[in-house]
Amino acid sequence: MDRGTENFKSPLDEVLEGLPEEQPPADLKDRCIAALDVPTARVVRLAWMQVMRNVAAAAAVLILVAGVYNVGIAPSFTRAREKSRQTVSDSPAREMHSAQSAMMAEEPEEPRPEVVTGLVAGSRPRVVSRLGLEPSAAPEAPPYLRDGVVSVYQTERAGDETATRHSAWNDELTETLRDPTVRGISIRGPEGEADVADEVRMVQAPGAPEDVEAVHAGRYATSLPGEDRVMRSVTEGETDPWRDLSGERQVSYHKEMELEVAKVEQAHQRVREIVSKRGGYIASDQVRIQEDSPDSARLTIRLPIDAYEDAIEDLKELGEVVRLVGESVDRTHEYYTRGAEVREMADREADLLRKYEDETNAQKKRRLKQQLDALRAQLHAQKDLLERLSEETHWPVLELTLTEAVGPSAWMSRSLENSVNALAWVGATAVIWLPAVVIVTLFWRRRTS
Amino acid sequence: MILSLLSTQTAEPADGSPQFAEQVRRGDRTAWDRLVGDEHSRLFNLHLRLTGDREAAADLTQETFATAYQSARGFAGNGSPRAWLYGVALNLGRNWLRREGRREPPDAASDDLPDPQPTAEEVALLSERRELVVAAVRKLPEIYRRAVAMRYFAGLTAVEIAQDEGVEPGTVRWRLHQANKQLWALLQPSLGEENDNGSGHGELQIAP
Repeated sequence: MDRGTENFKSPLDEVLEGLPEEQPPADLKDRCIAALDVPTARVVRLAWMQVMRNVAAAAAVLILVAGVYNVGIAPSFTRAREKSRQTVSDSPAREMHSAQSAMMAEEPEEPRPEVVTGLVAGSRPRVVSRLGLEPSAAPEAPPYLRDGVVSVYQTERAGDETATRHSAWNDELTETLRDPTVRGISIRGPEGEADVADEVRMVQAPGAPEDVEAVHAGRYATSLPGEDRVMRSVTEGETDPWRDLSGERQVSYHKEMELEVAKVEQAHQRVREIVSKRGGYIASDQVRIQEDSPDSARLTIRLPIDAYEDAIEDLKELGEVVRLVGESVDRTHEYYTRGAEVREMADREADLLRKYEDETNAQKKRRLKQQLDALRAQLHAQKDLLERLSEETHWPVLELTLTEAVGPSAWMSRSLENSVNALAWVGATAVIWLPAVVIVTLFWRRRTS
Repeated sequence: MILSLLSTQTAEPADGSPQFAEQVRRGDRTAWDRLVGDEHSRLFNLHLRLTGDREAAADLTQETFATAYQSARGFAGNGSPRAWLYGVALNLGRNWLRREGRREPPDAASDDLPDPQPTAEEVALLSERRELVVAAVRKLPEIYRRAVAMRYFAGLTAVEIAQDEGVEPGTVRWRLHQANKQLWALLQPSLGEENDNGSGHGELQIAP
């Protein structure tokens, strides 16, 4: 079989791929084809011992069902009811989204993403760099920007007029952002001269005019001159990773968790609520609801680093944790080294740009343009790497699998185990309740006789 | 050549083609018979390696095809039908292990485990002692065992596995990487014993 280039090689490949195959039984193929014809095929032969074990477990459960209910199940239902009540009231983000949805003029065909604390769930926390001059001509814009209105402002070259224009922008941007249908604003340089514009900023903060104030108050450093001058979302105080000089540890986390739940569909819905509440988003989602096999769901979740562990604790309560594994890698040195490289390349770019503008000789100007283009290509590549690294460290991944508890025998086994635990509890406390029962019984008999 | 033009028999779609995937999804009996013919032996070996029991492996192979055929509508059709089929097989295998009461191996912390670095001699030795290798695979935690089974026993690519599992290809490669580390940790002590018992594979051999 041609496996293609997988970018994964191991020294054990030769061993694992070279395992010889055994011949199956001669009639296996015919049996498999015949099995396709059986509507409710159940071809695994159960040993008679397994059948007897299941019958015995069922009988034990029936006998002890009253004790199981009182000790194990009733408190669980009570807790579940409490949790479901909490779910409705602990989701201000969902309330905010509902209010915002109600203000929209018309419902788009695609489900509108939730807005959680100013970030759009389902999208990257960073914003897109380029938009067309006309709202309709924005093919690169993500769907949430196409759905709304996008206002575009042009700048003049930096100069004496800058301060005046900033003041004018401030008021206009503030008013524009109050409009709930506006999802983002892009400010570009003059057409054809985007690379020399004074400032290019994008704000993604619907209904947050104070963030616009922060932007213009210089909360963000001057953009890097160049083609892509993208500011991070003004919410949450995010900055470009190459401007991050905090020195904080940058660790990337990757965890996988499997939960066994009673109902996959319900648990899946709860997962979405928890992720939304914690400010995360679901990068991929696959649900399998099949008649003849246990239901399952697999989700790839990205959560803000501050909420990562809390969200995992919340998710654990949805069912029984079957597996939880994880890996963390310290990327601190790499993160800040790359940031320094980007800043250094940006300085070189600014220097080259000045020389290019001042150069009058056409041939030298052409050569400088080539150097500038090559440097910008490297700068883009470095920034991409750093942004990906920043995403890994700021938005760690959780691969979550939900599986339905397997079949009645597993349920019976668990109930049997609970029953045994209940009996053990009853036996252990017998020294307390047994004498009391005896005394009460004797007293009652004496009274009746 | 004229006869071939007159032939009304349409060429069968290739295994990896969207048409074949659609036929599988619709429960087309011809496609399914072909799938059984192509995959029953490999599926049998997959189950055999994970259960160690020929009879159970044959039963599970039958059940895999029956279950998959009954739930063919559940196949989204956008990935490889083979990958989906092996996913069903591994789910049934896992359920079988649980019914048999076999406990899942504990998840070993693999952060500190070294990457596998077998010598050529060790690779040759492992290739001969396949029962060692298979036993080590069975001791892996389920998520890694599954990745190894799909990659090495079912012959699927990381992309096919990722599509079926609903994760990123990078996650699949990470799982395979962890699985290889754990396999090496399980196999290395056995190799050390082989080298110590004078089997002739060790480096220090004093000639008589």
